[in-house]
Amino acid sequence: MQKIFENVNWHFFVVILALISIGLLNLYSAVYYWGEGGSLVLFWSQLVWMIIGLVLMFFVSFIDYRFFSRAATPIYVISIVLLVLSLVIGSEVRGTQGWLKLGFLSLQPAEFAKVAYIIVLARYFANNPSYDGYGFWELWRPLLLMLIPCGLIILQGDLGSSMFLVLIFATVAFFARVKRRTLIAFLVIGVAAVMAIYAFGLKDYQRERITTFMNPEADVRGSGYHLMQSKIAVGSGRVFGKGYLKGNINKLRYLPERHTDFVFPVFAEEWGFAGGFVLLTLYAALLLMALDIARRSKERFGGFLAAGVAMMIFCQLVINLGGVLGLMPLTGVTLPLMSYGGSSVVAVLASLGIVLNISKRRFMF
Amino acid sequence: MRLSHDNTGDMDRRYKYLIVMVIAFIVIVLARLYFLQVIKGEFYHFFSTENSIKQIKIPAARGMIFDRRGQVLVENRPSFTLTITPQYVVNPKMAFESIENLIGVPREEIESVWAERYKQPKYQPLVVRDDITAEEVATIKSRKNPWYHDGDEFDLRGVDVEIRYRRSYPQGNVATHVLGYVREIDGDRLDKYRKDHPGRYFLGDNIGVRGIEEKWDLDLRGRDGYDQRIINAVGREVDYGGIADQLEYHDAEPGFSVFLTLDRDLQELARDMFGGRTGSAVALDPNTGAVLAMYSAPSYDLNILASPGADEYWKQIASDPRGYLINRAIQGAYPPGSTYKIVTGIAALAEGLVKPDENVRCGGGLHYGGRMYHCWAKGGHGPISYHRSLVHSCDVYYYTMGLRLGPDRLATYANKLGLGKRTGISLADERSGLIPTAAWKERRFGVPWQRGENLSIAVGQGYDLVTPLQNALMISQVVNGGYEIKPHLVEAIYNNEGDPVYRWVPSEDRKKIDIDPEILARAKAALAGVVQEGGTGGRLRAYEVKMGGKTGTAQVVSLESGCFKHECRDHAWFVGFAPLENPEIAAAVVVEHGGFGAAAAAPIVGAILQRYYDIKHNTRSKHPHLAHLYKDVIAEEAEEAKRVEEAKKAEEVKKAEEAKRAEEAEKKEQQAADKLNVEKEVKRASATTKPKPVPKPRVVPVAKRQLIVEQPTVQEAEIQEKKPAQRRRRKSKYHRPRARKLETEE
Repeated sequence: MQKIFENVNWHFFVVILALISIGLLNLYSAVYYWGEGGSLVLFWSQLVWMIIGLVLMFFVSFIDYRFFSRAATPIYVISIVLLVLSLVIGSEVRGTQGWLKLGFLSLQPAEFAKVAYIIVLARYFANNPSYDGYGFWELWRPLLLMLIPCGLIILQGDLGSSMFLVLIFATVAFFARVKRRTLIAFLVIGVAAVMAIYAFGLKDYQRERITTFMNPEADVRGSGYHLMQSKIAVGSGRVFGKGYLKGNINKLRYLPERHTDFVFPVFAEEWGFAGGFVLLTLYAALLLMALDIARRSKERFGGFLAAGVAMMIFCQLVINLGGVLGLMPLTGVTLPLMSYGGSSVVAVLASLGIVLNISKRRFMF
Repeated sequence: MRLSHDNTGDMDRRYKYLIVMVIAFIVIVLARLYFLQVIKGEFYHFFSTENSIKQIKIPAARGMIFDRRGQVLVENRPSFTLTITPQYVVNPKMAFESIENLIGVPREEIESVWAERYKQPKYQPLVVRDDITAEEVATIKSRKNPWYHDGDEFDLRGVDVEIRYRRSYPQGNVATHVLGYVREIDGDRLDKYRKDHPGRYFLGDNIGVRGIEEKWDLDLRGRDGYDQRIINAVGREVDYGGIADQLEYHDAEPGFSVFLTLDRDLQELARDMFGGRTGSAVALDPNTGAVLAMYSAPSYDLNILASPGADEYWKQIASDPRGYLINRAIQGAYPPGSTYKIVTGIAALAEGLVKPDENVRCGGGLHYGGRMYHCWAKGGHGPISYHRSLVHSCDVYYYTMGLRLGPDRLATYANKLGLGKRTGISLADERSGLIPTAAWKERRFGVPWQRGENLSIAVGQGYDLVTPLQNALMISQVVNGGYEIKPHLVEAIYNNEGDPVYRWVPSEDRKKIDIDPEILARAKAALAGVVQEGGTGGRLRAYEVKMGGKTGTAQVVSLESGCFKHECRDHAWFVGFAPLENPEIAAAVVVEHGGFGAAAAAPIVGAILQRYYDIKHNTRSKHPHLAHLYKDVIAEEAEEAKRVEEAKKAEEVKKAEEAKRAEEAEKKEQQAADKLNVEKEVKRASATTKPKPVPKPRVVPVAKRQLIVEQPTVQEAEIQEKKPAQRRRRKSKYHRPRARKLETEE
């Protein structure tokens, strides 16, 4: 018993629990007002997924995390297989072909693919140290490993998640230090590739989605209007918010995705600037602690893995909050541990479990 | 895997980048939150409780549809709708009274609309009356103001006028079935379209139904724009300092323009010639498959369907036994009658079952299987071979061919020529017609094929069923040299910048039909003979352009039935093409219960062919069916000619006067120049030194009325100084016969 709980980073664990609780509380409010549409089913289902996620986190934190290094390839392959399956036999939800329905459960393989990718990426950087930065020829393998799931996700129609993979690759590679030449080269290639894909590789409706994303006013009843409502919701919270469950959801009643993309405005309206400050502090704490765990890890793989997980959560935060606050175009990326989404919750909690794991073993080496 | 725990040192430095990124982002978000919630908090708060953002839809104009020459078939007109919005109505009773007093809408009508208001949100308007006149709009708008004072006569708060577009047709009944119409979207279609094209279809939108409007709806509908406004609870627009630039305005994008292959003049002609009869006319370009005309009678008026009385009208035509809604060009399947002999003849020749010059004896009928099958010529045609058999439509010849061919071989050739299957034209609900085979009959009726039935199908009776489009396709493919064509209706679609987003292009290699072109040429020659050699289509010789074709009279009931009502009369067919060399147009017309093909259907085909030829080659037919079309044009031209004559005469008079004036002017300048000359001579005589020649201006007559004074170059001045005989006779730039004279005067 003693052994199990020795070296656990309790502070980190508490932050995670705090975030989960806030997320659940907020989700309850978001679905509470749905008269004819949704119901509390979403809330309960999220609760169940949270518990599953916590259990998984518990177990994951006990395995020797080096197992992940060995198991990286099979995990990656499985995630690719799941992605392909979802393309082939998956069902379409909200316009993307990204869901696998097994009985009453629905999985979103893209979420797991993110974690799988982080693992293989971490392993690569861990095993191939470079003292003066990575050049192009050293990066082609992780790049390729990223492009495969990225392409599959694009085929699914989920542009947000595919961009996300690119972002993870970019941040972790940057963290690992890239030669300046290569950095510039990548930027150039990246821009060219994006333009080429936009012009030739996308189906019409996907292209339409991008133009809508880039130019929210173009989607008449869609994001342009929603962004306005989102800002009103956030702003109308003022300093202390309108109070729990008292958000003026009249506005948000016409805002779809309140339980996914727009959870933050729901929270901001009810808890105001004070609440937002607390939430952001918690997220900051989570990220900084994870980075600290990464730094303390005496072992390259652990460091990259923890940093990778931190970057994954960070990128999601950036894209979601940026979009919802009007700082960047809206995409369909959800807020980790706050938005509804079983696969996302489980994947994030599992990866946080890995971080906990790394933290536990910092004295091992 | 190597445990390289001593290799983590290099990464230590990198963490600071990530930490900085995280902290920077958090700070940015907090700053943004501070801005939105603390600085602008009150403002947004006010917003969220008391005001609403209303998005006013700006309807997009639907794309126009043109014919092949750019004449308008379908356009848009603005229509005004009187609405009432529950949220902003303060005193409903007064509002109803005001409307009734101002423009005469009965109160009961308004109240019944008002009773529906609980079915939708309060800020959405209810339609009181559609398509009100401009005067009524003015009446309402001029009396509407947002402040009501006690004692005001009218209270129009909550009452408003919306503008939207309606379809308008310069001629409402000229291409009805091909065009289709526009109405509000229904539930099923909404679900389907929303899934296929997210973001393009919403409840309450108008969509095209049937025809081109439906098929190309996505291109025609454009995109609605929207205007965001802030309306407060009393219905007033609120302009908070600075909020305006946070609101969005997006213009509507009009729909694209569709250019059809139809020719409006041909459609009008078909409509006029059909009159009150039922049937259909289809005309194709035999080389490209472009549908030059597609008309189905009876036709209905699309303008009425696009105005408020639509529902009543729709019920009327939908329940009328004449079948207004059927597009007979593709949905009317009739026995082809003698027009089918074209196929039978070609099949027999191709299979080698008959030689072109082989004679068959027609004695007025053929006895087979215990029955007498008559030829329409009671006395028979005598010994007759292929060419004349088609020219005079001898039944016995084709009965014979039918017996030799049998249904299956005949069906093969019918299929090759496009019969018995859908043409694939992009309109819904096309019928495939029927070309029977022995196997088909077995399946359908369970009894085997009787040889006697060969005779009836050979002359286009019996089970044969052909649509007018198929018949037009068949004859097109016979006379175009034997190439497969696919009928198409849309020539091009242009977007709002004028760039084509769709264009019909002919396929690179045209497929040849698997029939010997020589045989097809023979058939074409025989078809020419039907008209030109006094065959059954002889009356079409009256047209200027040389045509060919085939009559057909399809029996509806058997001859022995003794029924003489209109519904028992035969269907009249004619298929034709023109001109004989390199045909430019082929057409098929069927007149239901029209009687003889030559009398009822041929004149329509003839008129269509000639009219198309006239339009294309800018000629004018004098045929009685068409001459009236050119009457006005001819009169206009006569007037124009007169005007030109008069203008010419006036011009000549003017010229004569000008010439006179110019002559006098020249004389004057001659005199002046002479005077100058004399003076110069005197001066030269008294000069001793030769000064450097000063260029003297040379007068150059450029036009008879304009005299330009030009400074010559020094070189030229020197030449001017020389004595006349020494001067080189060189042509100056301004050489003119007259100019030489001036030179010598220096």
